Amino acid sequence: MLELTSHLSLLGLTFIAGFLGALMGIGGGIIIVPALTIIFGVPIKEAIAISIVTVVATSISGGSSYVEQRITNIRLAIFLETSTTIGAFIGALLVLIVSGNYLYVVFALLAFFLAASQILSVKREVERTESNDFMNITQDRVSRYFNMRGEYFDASINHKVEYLVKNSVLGWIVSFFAGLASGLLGVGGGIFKVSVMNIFMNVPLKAAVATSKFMIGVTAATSAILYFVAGLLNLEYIAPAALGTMLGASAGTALMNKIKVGWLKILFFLLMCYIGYNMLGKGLLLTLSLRLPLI
Amino acid sequence: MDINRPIYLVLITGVIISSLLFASALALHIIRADMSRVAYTLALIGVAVLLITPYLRVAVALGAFLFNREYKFAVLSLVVLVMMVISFIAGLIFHIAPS
Repeated sequence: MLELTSHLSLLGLTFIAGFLGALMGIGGGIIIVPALTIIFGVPIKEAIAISIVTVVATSISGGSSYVEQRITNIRLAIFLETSTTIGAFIGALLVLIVSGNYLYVVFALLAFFLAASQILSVKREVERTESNDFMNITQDRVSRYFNMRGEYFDASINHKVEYLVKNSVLGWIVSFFAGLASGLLGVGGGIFKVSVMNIFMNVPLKAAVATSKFMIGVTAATSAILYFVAGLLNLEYIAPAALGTMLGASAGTALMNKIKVGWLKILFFLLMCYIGYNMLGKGLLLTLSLRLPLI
Repeated sequence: MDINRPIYLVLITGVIISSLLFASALALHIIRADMSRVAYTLALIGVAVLLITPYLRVAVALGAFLFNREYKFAVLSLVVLVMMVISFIAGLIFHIAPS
C-alpha cells in the first residue's frame, strides 16, 4: 500500500502536470508517464492507463473553466473533433496491422516545424492580439459555410480579441493525422491541436489552448475506458493522480488568461522542442536502435 | 440558447462529483488503512463518473444545437458521438488497449 508521503508527492506532481497542461492546452501525459515509471516504479502500461484517465480529468476540469471564461470555441472544437475521433479510430485499428514506430520520427519533425513556427510568430501574434487584428483575413468557403469565428476577453491586455477562422479543411486534415498519431502512438493529442488552430487556422493562441483543452477529453475518454475494461487501471494511484491534475488544471486555467501571449508562445515553443526531441529519441531507438542523449 | 451554459453545467457537475469521490477515497485511504476496499470502490465510481462526462458533454452539445436549430453543428456532434461509441465497441472487440 502507498504511504502518506507517496500519496502527497503524487498529488503534488500531478498538480504540476495539470497546471502546465492547463496553460498549454495539453493533457500532461508527457510529464505523468515518466514520473510514474521512474519515481514510483509503476509498470509502463499502468502508467499510461493512469495518465489517460488524468487527461480526461484535466480536460473536463480545465475545459469547464475555459468554457465559463468564454475562451473556448465550442463550434470549432466540435468541427475538429469529427476528424480527430475518426483519425484516432483508424489509428487504433492500424496498430493491429502495422508498427507505428517510424511515425515517431515523422511527428517529431512536425513538432520541430511547429516549434519553429511558434517562435517565429511571437512578435506578430503579440501585435495582432494587442491591435485586435485577427479579423482582417478572407475566409475560405468551408469556414464561411460553418460561420467559424470567435472572440474572447484577453485579461492580460484588458480588451476583447475577435477572430475569423480560416483554412478549415487543412485544419480538419491535420487534426485527422493528430488523431491518427494519438491512436497509433498514444501521444501528441494536445500540442498538435493547439498548433493546428494557432498556426494554420488564424485562432489566437489563448483561444486555441482553451479549445484544445476542451477537445482532448473526447478521444482520451474512449481510450481510458478500454484500459479500464482491460483491468490496467491501478486504483491505488488513481485518486491522488486525478485529484492532483484537476486541482492543477483549475489553478492553471485561473492564471492562463492573465499571462501575456508572448510568454505563452515561448513556453509553448520550449515544450514543443522537448516533445519533438523525445519523440525523435523514441523513433530512432525503435527503428534504428540509435540512442539520443537524455535531457 | 447560449451553447456555453449547458456544456459548462455538464462539465462542472462531472468535475465536482468525481473530485469529491477521489478526495474521500484518498482521505479514507490515509485515515483508515483497513478500509482500503471502500476507498478503492469510491475511486472506481469516481473514474466511472469522470469517463462518462465527455460522452455526456457531446450528447448535450447535440441536444443544445438541435434546440437552437443549428443543424450543421448538430450533425457534427452526432458524428463525434457515433465515432466515440464505435471506437469503444471496436476496442472491446479487438482488445485494442493493452497492446
